[in-house]
Amino acid sequence: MDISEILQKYPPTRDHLLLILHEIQRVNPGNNITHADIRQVARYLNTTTASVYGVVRYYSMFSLNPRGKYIIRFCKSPLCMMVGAFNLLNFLEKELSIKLGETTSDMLFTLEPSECLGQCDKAPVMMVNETIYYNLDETRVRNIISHLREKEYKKQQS
Amino acid sequence: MIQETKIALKNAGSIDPYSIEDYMNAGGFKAFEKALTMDPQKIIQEFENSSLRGLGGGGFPTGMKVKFTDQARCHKCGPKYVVCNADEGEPGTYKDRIIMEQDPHLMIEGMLIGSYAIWAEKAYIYIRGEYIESIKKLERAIKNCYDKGYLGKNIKGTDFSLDMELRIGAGSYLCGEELTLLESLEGKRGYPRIKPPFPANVGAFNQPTLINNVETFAHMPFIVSEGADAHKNMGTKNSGGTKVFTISGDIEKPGYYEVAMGVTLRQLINDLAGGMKDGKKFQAAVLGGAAGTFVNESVLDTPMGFDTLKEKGAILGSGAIMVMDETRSLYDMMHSILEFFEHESCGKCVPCRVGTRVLVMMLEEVKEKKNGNRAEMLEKMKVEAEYMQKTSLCPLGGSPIIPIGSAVQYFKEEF
Repeated sequence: MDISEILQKYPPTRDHLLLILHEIQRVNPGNNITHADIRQVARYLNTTTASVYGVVRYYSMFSLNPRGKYIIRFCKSPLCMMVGAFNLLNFLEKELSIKLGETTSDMLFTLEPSECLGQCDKAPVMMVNETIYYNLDETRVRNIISHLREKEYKKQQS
Repeated sequence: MIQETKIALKNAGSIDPYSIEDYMNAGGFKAFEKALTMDPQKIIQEFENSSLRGLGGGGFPTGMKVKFTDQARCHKCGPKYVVCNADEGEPGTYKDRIIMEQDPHLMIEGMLIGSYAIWAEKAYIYIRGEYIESIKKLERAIKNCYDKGYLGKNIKGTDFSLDMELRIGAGSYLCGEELTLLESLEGKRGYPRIKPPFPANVGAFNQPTLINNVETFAHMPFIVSEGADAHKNMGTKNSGGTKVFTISGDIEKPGYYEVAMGVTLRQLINDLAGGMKDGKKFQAAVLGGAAGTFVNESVLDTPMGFDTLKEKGAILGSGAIMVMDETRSLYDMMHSILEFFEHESCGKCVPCRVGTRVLVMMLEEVKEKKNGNRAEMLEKMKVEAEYMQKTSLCPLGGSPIIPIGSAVQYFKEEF
């Protein structure tokens, strides 16, 4: 993946780093930032690889490891946990056969914890890529996952 | 029966958030145009008289903050900046999201007024990366303002010029703290800075910076157009105006409600939120989010303002209210709050990095202990949290004492 086009959009100053990283991550097929990207960004911003690496590792939305096509951000805020997210998270882990922080072997789903997503009146909530799903229960979670699985399956068929 | 009083949410739901024309038809930018004809010093005076307080949770008088930033003289006298803190992440809080999603131009107008008052050259909005909807609307709103000549060079034919940029965070609760936010804005790891110096003197890019919350900026147009007294007369003695409360948990109608400061928790729950869910009994409420206070029914009739709640050992914070009925476990709530701090501690200060973990372990021990020793263990947790508060750089290390202290004060028996 050539990222120089992305870099050219931003002036080469350090304060654009987060915006650049967001955009790189969006276009990379693995939803991640590679070591090669980091080196190139560091050169462009005239800083060290270590300091860019440090930023990537600090922020929870950035990932070095390839992630699934659908990133599930599961709200673990105290309120969501109180109204049922605790059991729901166990259910979701079983449904996907992975633990929090892992990616399914078909590279379809990554399950990540998230801080409060700010949808507390409709708790429990989770975010799948850019879509927010609220008022979750086991049926709803199962439907969302199977709907996405089917969609991908159909895409592969055609 | 209490009614809603709207300043920050006055247009919410009644206009198209993408349309600047809608906003202007609803009286938008009148306040900013009035401000352009005023002396900046007079505007700062109005802010001071309005008793507007930092509505992100800090409660620092906004007028003073603006004045300090205005008076700041840096050694090289470079530009001044305005930063809007839209990194809303306090559990239970979503007032900023509502303002940004339903009326993004209002907050930008507030930022324009703030920038004019201190004669800033550039304004930034730092928003958390998960708020996709808000990001889209703000991007459009900024573009709209450039198109209509409210941003850019020589705004509306005056000497005043302002550029505005959106900056997007990447999932760190800590970056909601103002100095950490500035580090992140500069493209660094979100580690807290040593305070003082305060942002008013040394802020973004080491220049004087006025940094306020979304809701605080959303109040500024009202103060300019209606006058400081109109704002002041609405609230309590030291907390003027309104506040958006986001109330969730075991109530019939969870949601956001904007009311004048000084409302009581009982009025909020019964009059606006439809009472307790399924007629169950009220057990506790957590006011102000994770870095908030557990309160019992003795606080139900206390007027909610920054100072009035403080007298009761509680805090207003960001306006988050999490209501728990009699069947809920206070222990579980405290456990997830402490786990949250453990997860979000950045690790720069050892007392916070280690302490947040130790507190979770201690709480788990509280559960195992027999009745007699529990209270003792809670006291120990309080001491531990006090040490953390004294020895950590930023408010995160000082946060666990807030829920723990209030739990010891109000719920010693229940734990």
